This record gives sequence, C-alpha cells and structure tokens, in this order.
Amino acid sequence: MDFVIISVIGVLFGCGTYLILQRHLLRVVVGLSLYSHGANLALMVSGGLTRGNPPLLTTEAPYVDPLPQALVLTAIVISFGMTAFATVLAFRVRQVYGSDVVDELAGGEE
Amino acid sequence: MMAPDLFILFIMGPVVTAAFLAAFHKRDLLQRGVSLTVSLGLWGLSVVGLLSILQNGIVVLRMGNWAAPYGIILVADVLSMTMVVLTMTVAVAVVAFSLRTVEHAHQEHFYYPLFFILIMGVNGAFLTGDLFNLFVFFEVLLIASFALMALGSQPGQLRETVKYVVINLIASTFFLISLAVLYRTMGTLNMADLAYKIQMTSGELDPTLTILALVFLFVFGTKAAIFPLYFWLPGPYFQPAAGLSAFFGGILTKVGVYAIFRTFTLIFRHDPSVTHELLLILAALTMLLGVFGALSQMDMKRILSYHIISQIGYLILGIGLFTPQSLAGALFYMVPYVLAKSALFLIAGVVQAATGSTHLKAVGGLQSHSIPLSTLFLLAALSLAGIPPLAGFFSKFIVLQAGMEIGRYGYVGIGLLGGLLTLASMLKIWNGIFWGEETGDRRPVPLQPLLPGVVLLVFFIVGIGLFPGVLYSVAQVAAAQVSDPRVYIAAVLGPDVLW
Amino acid sequence: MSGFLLISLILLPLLGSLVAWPERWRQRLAPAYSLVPILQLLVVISFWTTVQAGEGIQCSWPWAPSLGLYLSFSLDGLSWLFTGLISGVGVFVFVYAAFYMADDPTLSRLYRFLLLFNAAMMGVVLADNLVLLLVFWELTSVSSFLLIGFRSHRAAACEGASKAFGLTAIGGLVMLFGILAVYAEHGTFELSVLLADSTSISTAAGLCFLVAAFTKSAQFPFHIWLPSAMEAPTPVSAYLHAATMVKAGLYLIARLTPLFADDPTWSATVTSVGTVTLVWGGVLACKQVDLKALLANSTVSQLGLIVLLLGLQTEIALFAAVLHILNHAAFKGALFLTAGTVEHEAGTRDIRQLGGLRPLMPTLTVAATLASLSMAGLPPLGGFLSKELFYESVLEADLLLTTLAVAASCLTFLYSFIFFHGTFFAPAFHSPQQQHASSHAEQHSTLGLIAPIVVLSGLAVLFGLVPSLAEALVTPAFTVMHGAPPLLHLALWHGLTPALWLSVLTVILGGSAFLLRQRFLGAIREHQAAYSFNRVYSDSLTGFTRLFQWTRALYMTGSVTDYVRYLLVALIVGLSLPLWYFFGVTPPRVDMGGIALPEYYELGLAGLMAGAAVMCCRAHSRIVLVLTLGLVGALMSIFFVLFSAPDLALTQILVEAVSLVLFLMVLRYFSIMVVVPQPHISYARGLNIGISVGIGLLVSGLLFAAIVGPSLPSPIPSYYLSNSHLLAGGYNVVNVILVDFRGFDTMGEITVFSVAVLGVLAMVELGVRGQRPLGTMFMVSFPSPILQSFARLTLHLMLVFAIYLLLRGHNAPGGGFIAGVLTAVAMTFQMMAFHVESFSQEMPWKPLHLVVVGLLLAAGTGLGSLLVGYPFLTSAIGHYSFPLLGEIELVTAMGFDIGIYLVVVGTSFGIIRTIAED
Repeated sequence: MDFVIISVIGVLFGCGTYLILQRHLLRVVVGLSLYSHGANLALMVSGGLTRGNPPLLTTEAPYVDPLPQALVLTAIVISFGMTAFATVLAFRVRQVYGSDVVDELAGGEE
Repeated sequence: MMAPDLFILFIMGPVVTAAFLAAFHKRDLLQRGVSLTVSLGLWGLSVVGLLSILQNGIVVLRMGNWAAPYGIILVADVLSMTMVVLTMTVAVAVVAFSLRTVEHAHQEHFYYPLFFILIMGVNGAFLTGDLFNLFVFFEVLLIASFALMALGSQPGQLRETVKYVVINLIASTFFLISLAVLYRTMGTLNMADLAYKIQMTSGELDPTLTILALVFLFVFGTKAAIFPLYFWLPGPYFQPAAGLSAFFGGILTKVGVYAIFRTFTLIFRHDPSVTHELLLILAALTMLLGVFGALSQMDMKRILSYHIISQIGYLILGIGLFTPQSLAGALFYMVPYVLAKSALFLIAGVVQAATGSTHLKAVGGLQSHSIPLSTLFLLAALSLAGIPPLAGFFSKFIVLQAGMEIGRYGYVGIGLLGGLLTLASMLKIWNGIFWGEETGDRRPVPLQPLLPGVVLLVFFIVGIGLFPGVLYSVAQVAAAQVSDPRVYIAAVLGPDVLW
Repeated sequence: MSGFLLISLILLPLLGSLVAWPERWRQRLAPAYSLVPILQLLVVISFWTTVQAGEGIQCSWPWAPSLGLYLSFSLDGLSWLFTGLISGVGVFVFVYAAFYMADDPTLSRLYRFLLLFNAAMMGVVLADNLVLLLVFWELTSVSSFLLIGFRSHRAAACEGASKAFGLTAIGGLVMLFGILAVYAEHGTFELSVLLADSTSISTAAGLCFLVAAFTKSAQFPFHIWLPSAMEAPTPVSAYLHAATMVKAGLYLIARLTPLFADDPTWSATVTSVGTVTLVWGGVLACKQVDLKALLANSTVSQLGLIVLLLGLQTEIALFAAVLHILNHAAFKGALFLTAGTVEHEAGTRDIRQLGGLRPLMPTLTVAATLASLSMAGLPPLGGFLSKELFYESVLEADLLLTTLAVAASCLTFLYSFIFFHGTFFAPAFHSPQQQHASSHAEQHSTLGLIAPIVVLSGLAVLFGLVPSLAEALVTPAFTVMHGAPPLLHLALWHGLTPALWLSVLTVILGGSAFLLRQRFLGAIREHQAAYSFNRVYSDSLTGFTRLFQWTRALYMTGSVTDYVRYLLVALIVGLSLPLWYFFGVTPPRVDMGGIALPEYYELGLAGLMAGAAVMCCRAHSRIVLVLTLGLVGALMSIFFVLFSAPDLALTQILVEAVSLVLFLMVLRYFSIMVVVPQPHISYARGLNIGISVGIGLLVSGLLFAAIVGPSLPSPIPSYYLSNSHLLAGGYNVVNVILVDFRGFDTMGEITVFSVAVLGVLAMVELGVRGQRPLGTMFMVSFPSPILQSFARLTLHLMLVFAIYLLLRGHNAPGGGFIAGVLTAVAMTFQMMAFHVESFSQEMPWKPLHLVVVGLLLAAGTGLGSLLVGYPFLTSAIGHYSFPLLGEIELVTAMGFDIGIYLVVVGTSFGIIRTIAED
C-alpha cells in the first residue's frame, strides 16, 4: 500500500506544481493546499501504514507509530493557518488590483 | 551563571508579550513602552545567557521534562546563543527605530505583536534541538513575516507578499517531505540523536544521507537565499517599512544560514567531498551574482537587498571550507555583517524619512543635511565592504585566511573580488545619496531621534573592529563546539552515551 | 617610554581628529589643529640620535594574538625619514591651509580629515605587523577619499574620490591576499621577524605587495586616479597626493626590498613599471593646461622614477631613490602650494590664462622658480643631486634604460619650465577677468600663502647647496634598505662624469624643446587620444553596469511563476544526480516485508484521490476548483480513518469544512462561474507540465528511496506507547504527544494560528477597500425564522459536543483543536443564519480576545511549571472525582489544551467573521 500512496503523493505534487504555475492566484493557493496534502501523506507513510491499529491505549495492541500522526496534526493546523492567510491575501489582491492574474502582478524589480 | 530554565524566555517571553500587546492594541504608549522594555530586557538577558554558556558550557532544556529523543529539547550552545544575542541586538535597534517611524494605523494593527512573534520564531529556530520543531518555528517566523510584509495592504506590498508567501510555502512543504524521509530512514527527529546514529553507522546510510542533505540544502538554501534559490528575495525585501527591512535583511535569511550551519556541521558530515564542495561552488556563485545584481541597481534599498545575497555567500563559504577556523570565521562573519546590514537598512529608512525616497537619482547631498547620519552610513558601509579597521574587515580576513590555509586560493580570490565590488556599490550609494548636488525633498523631520538604534549597531561594528579578539575567542569556542559533534551529542544525550 | 613616544605620533593626530570645537569658535580655533604636526615634528626630531646611531625603537601590545595580530610598531631609519616627511610637510600644509581657507566654514572639517590621514600615514610607516599596516593603509585610502570628495557638491570631486578609492582598494585587497599567503607560509605577520630571518617570501606574494604599492603610488596603469584626485582642495593635493600618501607605495617597496634582493622577477617588474610610468607621466604632464593637472602628472612621472630606482636595487639606485623622495617632497610640496596660491589670488589655474604674475608676486615667483628648477634637475639645487645619481644608476644598467631616462628628464625639464614660465613670466593674458584677478592679487597677497612655499623651496635649494644635510637625512633609511651604510658621498661636483654629460644633454634637448614648444605643444594639447586609460576605466564601469542590468533583467522578471520555476528546476536538477546514484549505482536491496498489500477499496480511494487532484488542474471555473479541493480533503479524511488515525480524520474533515466556507466567502469577490482560460502560450504550458511531472516523480522517488533504502530502528514509538498513560496520564497517545511529549510543537503551532488571525485582520482593515462582493453567495440577506431556530438548536448541541470532545481528548479522539474547529463551525452557521451585524451585537466579545486569552493560558500553563522548579511545559497529573462524571484524571496539560481550544475558536471564527463583515 505504501507504494500506492507514494504514487498518489507524486500525483498530488505534480498537480500541485501545475496549479502553482498557473496564472490565477486562487489556483496557486489550491496548488499549495495539494502540496500540503501530499506532505501530510508522506509523513503518514514515514511511520508505516497499518490498518485498524489506532494509537488509543483503550483499544487492543498492536498500535501504529503515533508520532507521525502527531506531526501530521501539527502540519494540518499550520497549513490551515497558512492557507487561510494565503486565501485572504488572494482576496485582498483581487480587491486592490481588481485582478488575481499572477502575471499582472509581475514587477517590483524596478 | 544563568538558570537554565530562563533560556525559555527567549522564546516564550516574546509570545507572552505579543499576546499582551495584541490585547491592548489600541494603547499607543503601552505598545511602545512595553516593546522597548521587553526587547531591552531580553537583550540584556541574552548577553548574560551567552556569557553563562561561555563559562559553563552548553545548556540543554527538556521541554515538558522529557528526555531526548522523546521530547523536544532546546540546546543553547555558543553558536545558537550568539545568534540569539545578535537577534536581540537588532531587535532593540529596530524597536527603537520603530517607536518613531511606525504609522499609527500599523501600530494599531499588531505591528509590535507580530514583531515579537517574529522574534519568537527566530529565537526558537536558533535554540531548538529538534528538526520538526525547527519546522514549526520556521512557520512561526514565516507567518509573522507574511503578516508584517503585508501590513498596510498597499498594492506593492501585497504583490511582493504573494511572491514571498508562495516561495516560502513551497520550501516549507519540502521541509516536511524531507522530515518524512528522515524519520523513515533514521527513526528520529532529534538532531543530536540523529548525529549520534550517523556516527554509529558505518556508511551504509551515506547515499540516503546525501539525498537528505541536498533536500535540506534546498529548503534552508531557499530561506537563506543562496544560488540558485535567491531570486525571490530582492523584491519582497524592498517593500516593507525600513525597520522591518532591517530585521528581515539582517536576521531572517540568517535563520536559513544558521540551519545550514547546524545541519552541515552536526549531521551531514558523512561526505564533505560532495556536500561541502557543493556548498563552496554555490557560495562562490552566490557571492558574485549577488554583488553583480547590486551593482546593477539604482536604489539604496535594492542595492542593500542584493548585498544580502552576496554576503550570504561568504557565510556559506566559511561553512563549506569546513575547518575549525573557517567555521569560526563564518560565525565571526555573521555578527558584523548582520549589524552592518541592519544599520544600513535603518539608515535607508532615515533617508526615506528625510527625503521621501531612497533612489540614488532622486536624492543627493545629504551629507550637508546630517553629518551624524552620513558618518554612521560610512562606518556601516565600509564595514560591509571589509575596509579596516571596521569589524567587517576581520570577518573577511578570518574566512579568507581559513581558505588560504587549506590552499583554496580560487575561493579566496573570489572573496576578495566580491569585497571590491561591494565597496564599489557602497561608494555608489554614498555618491548618490550623501554627496553630489543637493537634490530631493528635505522634509522637516528631525533626524536625530531616529538614530539611536543605528548608533547602537554601529557602536558594535566599531567596537568589534577595534577589539576583534573578543568576538574571535567567542567564535573559536563556537567552532570548537560545532566542529566536534560529540560535544553537542554528549550535552544532549548525556555524557555516558555509548560510543 | 620611547615606545609611547613612538605611538604618540599616531595617537596625537588621531585624538586631534576627534576634537570638535564648539560651533561659535570653530572657525577661529581651527588653526590650532596645526599644533599636532608641529608636536609630531618635535617628536621625530627627538628620535634623530637614535636613528643616526643605526638603532631602532620597537614596541608591541597584544591585539588579537590568536589571529596573529599585535599592535606592534617599530621605527628605523626608513620609517624615520617618512615620519619626518609626514610631520614636516604637514606643518607647512596645515599652516598654509589656515590662510588658504580662512573664510571657509569647512576648514575645521578639513583639518580633522587631514589629521585622520596623518594618523593613518604615520601608522603605515610605523606598523610592524602586516595586518596593522594594511589597516592603516586602507585608512589612508578612506581619508583620501573623504578629502578628494571634500567639495562634495561637485560631480567631478565625487568621481575622482571614488576612482582613487576604488583603484587603491584593488591594491589593498591584493595585498591582503599577499599578507595571507605570507602568513600561510611563515606563520607570522611581524615584519621584523620576516626581515630578521631574511626568509624567502614567494614571488607570488611579493607581486601582491607590488600591486598594492603600484596602486597607491599611482603607477602605470593605475596612475589615472591621481590626476582625478586633483579635485581635492590644494593643501590636500600638496600633502596627500604629492608629498606623503603616494609615497606609501614607495615605502612598501623600500621596506620589502631586503626580502626580495635576489628576486629577478621582483626587480624586473618594479623597474619596468617604474620606467613606463616615468615616461608616460612626463608625456601627460606636458600636455596639461591646468597647473594642478600638470603637477599631478609630473608626480606620477616622478614616482615612476623612484620606483624604477628601487627596482634597480643597486647601491647608487637605492641611495638615489631615498634622496629623491626627500627632494620631491620639498619641491613638489612647494609647487602644489604655489598652484594653490596662484588660483587663490588669480582665480584660475589654467596656464593659458595665466602669465605676468612676476611683478605682482615677486617673492612667490622666486620661490616657485627655484622649486621648478629643482624639479628640472638643474644645479645647484637638490633635484640636480638626485638626477645625477639617477643617471649613474641607469648607466650601470643598460642603454635602453639610459635612453628612456634621458628622454623622461627632457620631458621633466620641459614641463618644469612650462610651469613657472607660463605662470609668472609669460606675457600677461589680458582679459578683463584677469585684470580684476591681478588687482585682487595685489591687495590680498598674504604672508601665510607664500611663507610655506618659500620655506619648502628653501629646503629644495638647501639640499643642493649643502649636500651633506640631505645625505645625513637619508643615510639611515638607505642603510635599512641596503643593509650597510653607503660608500658614496653626495657632492655637487663629481668631475666630468658620463652622468654630467647626460645632464648637459638633457638641458640642451629640454631647453630646445621649451623654445620650440609653440610648434608642437598646441597640437599635443588639442590631440584627444582615441582611447585613454581613463576611458577604459569609465567605459568598463558603465559597460559592466549595463551588462549586469541586462543579465538581471533576463532572469529577475518579477513574476512569481518564473521564480517558482527556477526553484523547482533547481530542485529537480540538484536531486536527480544523487537519486540516480542511489538507485543506479548502489541499488538497495528491496525488502517488502512489513509492507501491506493494498485492498481493492484502498486502491479505489487512491484512484479517487489522484483523480480529484487531476480534476483540480482541469477545473475551469473557480467554484469547481474549490469544491474539488474539498473533495481531496474529504478523501484524505477517509484515508486517515482507514489507516488508524481517527484524530487526523476528525481534524481533516473539520478543517476542510471551515476552509470551504472561507473559500466560498472569498469567492463572492471573484466572478466565480467564469471559465478560467488556460494559458495560451503552449511552450509555457509544456514547460509547466514538464516541471510538474518532474516534481511528482522526484517526490515519489524520494519517498521510494526512503522506503526501500536502509533504515534504523526507532525506540521512539514504543516509548510513547508504553509511557503515554504511565507518565502522562492519557490513553490517546496522539493527543498526549501533542499536549505533552511534544507540546512545544503545539505551542508554536497555535502561535502560527494566532498570527493568521492578526495578519488577516490587519490585511483586511488596512489599505484601500476595493470592490464590493459580486454576489451574496450564502449570506442570508433577510431573516429566515426557520433557519434561525434550527441554528439556535444546533448551536447548543454542537457546543456541548465540542466541550465533550475537548474534555475527552486526552483519552479518546478529540482534543482542543478538534473541539475548537467544531465550535467555530457552529458559530459560523449561527452567523449565516442571523445577520452579521445582529450576530456581532449578540456576541460582544471579539475573537481576538479569545485568541489572546488562549495563547496566554497555554503559555501560562507551560510557564507555571517553571515556578515549581520543573522545565517548561512539565505536566502534573492528579485524580479528582466529580459528580456525574465520576473519577477523572486531571492533567495540567488540560489547561494547555483549553488554551489551544480558545485560540482555535478565536482564529477560525475570527478570520471568517472578518471576511464576512467586510
């Protein structure tokens, strides 16, 4: 299963990259979200994937490695904060520029 | 002797301050008074902390009282504490400058809270001994810098913030990927544990480690703005208010450099003939392309932004040469350079305040307007260009001496060439802004009150230049600590760790 | 004692330069700075007996011994000669400046810069540590820079200053290279040690020092800075650019001569560069029409002469070199001051407009003529003595050198005559301006502007008339260089030597050239060289700047898309090599044990996820884009359910819900249903697809390498699993890790989260307001009673559920974050049902306050443990029994979790409300 998931991660990163390289800011933000989904899956893979062994001590052993899950949770929260910020940024850019086409934001190098 | 637990204050102090200031974000006097007091207090504390470490050795803090590698630990060695002291020094100068320059609306919209969160992130990144925790602190400083960069929501600001956000979020994602690979392979995230495990293996992990080293170099190199990852920097660093530019330009990229410094001395030292050789090549290109870019610019702040890149090259050069002296040199390089860079950005802010522009064509003849300002500029700029007896000279001197000793003449030559071109662009600013016919507006702004922060920074530049031995002895202790990873490992995992 | 006296030579001017007189008396007290060189001169004179006896003075203090740096100074005959020049000429220049700039308010600043320079120069000639020498060396460059650009409003002054600084800085840096090379070879920076061991220094290092000396002493092809430096006020030109600073290079060569006595490369380089400079400088000097430019080029030429002599290294040549250093200081100092006085009195330095000043300024005429004749090398003046020795030295060498020497001397003769004849004796150039200037001169000619010139010229005469005086002054210096006292003795009359015949020849040729000058001088002056070194310098400056601008414009496009491309391409390129090495060169043994085979529904899930991701790329409208992203998130959540991560599943689905709300609210501002056009430039699209595929493969490859490659066992999971309840009092290990084992991560995480709301608030509230939303997507614009009562009901249910999740988090899936997002969702629903404004009235607190309280609570819980002597975030466990709930384990980490809860509620809801209210 791990190999299937790393292929999915590859697809997520590929699609994420494609979207980040698009002209519209909202797509860029969506691309970044796909990136973070991919990274979260990668962290999950790093602990090894097992079915039905949640790290709850109230259930029966064995348990899956709990550390990657904790890391993913932290990463989800952080990327949620980042995405929220980026979304609002895109929205403000749209408001101020009247456009969210990245190319039209080019400049700033004098 | 400072109680080890107090070291947490460099991280938690700013957070608590930030939360407090965010609650009272409309109270003008409170905002400014508390900011100045706290930054001064933490600055003093950081100096005491550094002295204490120099005397008593590395301090290790277990967060939640959990031992490494299970819990997160903070490690304050000479390298990281020097960085903290440097950060706090710049922070004091920036706060002092901000007291007079920050717009009221910005202040009400969390300028100071965000700034303190930024400090928290930076200090946390310097002090943590855990790679995932380093990621978290990177994110802390990133989001604070995003918010600060966009503060004001002017079109140019938003535009550059977009670039900055996108690039940094990409780098952060790859940070996570590399952590995933790392955890899968090494089974730990603690840096000392990692270093220990690598020391105990006999080469079968080397190909994986090389791959990891390169991914980490990509991640940290993007933050540090080394070749070929620096392209994002000049635009965004030009935009924010001068006080912030000073902190961004002075400190933020150095977090990336610090991370390279730490990981490539502690962890990725399995095959220097590949990894560190690569660092040297990138360092040379970074030095040259940065300064080429600077020479092509006609605006003071833009020139300074490109110089950030160029100077990063010297730091990487010191790390790449990978001898005790070159590492000491890299740390020695860091201090005056950060001070000078921050001072110069602040001076650009004063110029902006006085004339409304920092473009070389739009401003001129400021020397007659303010002798103190021009003197401060000259001292900082000449230090950056490595003119003796200012501190920057000894920076260059030590790094290049280290290169000379192991026969890397080519890199020494490139370093010297970079110095010459740096001087050329500093003279360009001087001629454009301070000499020449008096052009540009002269706003009726009293400049003297803007200067205390700059004076503080330049004071240290001159002081280090006159007494280079003091900082060098600190740098030597730091280099001794980082060039033998066993010191760090033993401090974290306990002296009875099995070798 | 003598050591302190020695460094007083440096400290006096250094302290003097720091003295700033109060504004009121600044102008009147400025001349008091002249006391410094006078005192210095007395100190130098006091060293006379020591030096005469062939002894020296050394003193040394540690500076940074670990770097090999010492504050070591030494005085011997050679440095004594230079200290004498610096202080002696200094006295005249300082006095002169007081009169020259009597009414100029910048006089005081000029003095302070001059003193800074004086200190630096003293340092150069006294330093024994090479790095210390370099420090002072560069300080002379800096002070020279400030002095050349003294009249900073003039563009030419700024350019000249930069040119001088830039070119001499090349030398300084190359010298640094040489110094480092010497240290790498010999392990010391101390000159005295190097000289005492008479160690052989590698020629390469030697050449580095030579480059430094050549830049400083304006040798070909670095000579171009010196004429440009004439923008400096004339006293500065006389002091720095004639008498002292330009001689620092000569000092360096002289100082190192003993080390390279047998080095043919050194000798050949020095001689040839000196010769070229000598001749070329002479040619350029003759061309000039500006008095100072003439003198500047003549200085270049004369410096070349001395360098040539130093390169020959014979006894006569070395003696001639030191003697000429002395003579040149005297006559060139006098001539520069003359140019200053003439300009001051006549208002111009253009030789074509000058003339006929003899009757107006008789004293000056005599003094300047004598100095010029000394420069021309006529007996019985000092210049004659050194010229004779010069001829003798080249006669010893070879014919070519002799020929060039004679030619150069003729040029010297010519420009010397042009100088004094054109200024004083030529028929007056009668322009109205000139008339005015002349009358002006008569009235204001002051003693102070003439006396220093008279004394300096007097010295030039004296050195000729009393050769023993000059001999005594330079002998100690010569002895240091040569290693033995000189055998020759100076005299005006040596008999009919070949050298004398050459002098006669010089006078004949030079004299005829002077008489015939009208024939060719005009043509030479008119002639504009097609390509001068100055042009090379300025063209290469602009050329490089253009090149840099052009290349920068190529890649610094300002488009973030491009920057991302660079970044990702760099990543692909950088990583493909080690990955290839990993798989291709050292293929790992693939161990499939422990890796579960996929079930069919898992394959389906994976396929759906990949499909949804691809759909995102193909989404043509924004709403589809956002919804597809939500789909990916939901599938992620299912994945977490399948693979033993209930906490993650809950978190993910809630986060996805809130994100969706946020996205939809933001979409009100976009024209959501409009089809987004694909990029029409196909090559860019191809590039994007290429990069995307590359990155996808790269990431998969990385993870593949991690899975199949070797790995080390980890004790960490088992530690957490066995100690989670035992030591941390929780059954939900993930939650325990988050709030306890790695609680510090969470501290950072909620900080990030809090900042997001601060940033959003600031971003939305500041700046221009921009357009209104295009549509009210789902904000109900009128109250809907059914929705409202439904919302009220669900609010309370959801809140209770959230509290439940929060409290049980330590032991079962839940916790502060999940509870917080759930609460935010409930409140958002509430806000949608009611009007935003009325909702705001109903909830008087601000989300910001929740965030602050939460952050402080979390931090406070952690810091609390410090008070009881435990590290930050240390958790304590207690058992309490509550009514209804039974016994509950209460952990201080709970406080931390509540903090998280508050932050999450505040932030999630805060962001949404901010957008909704906008």
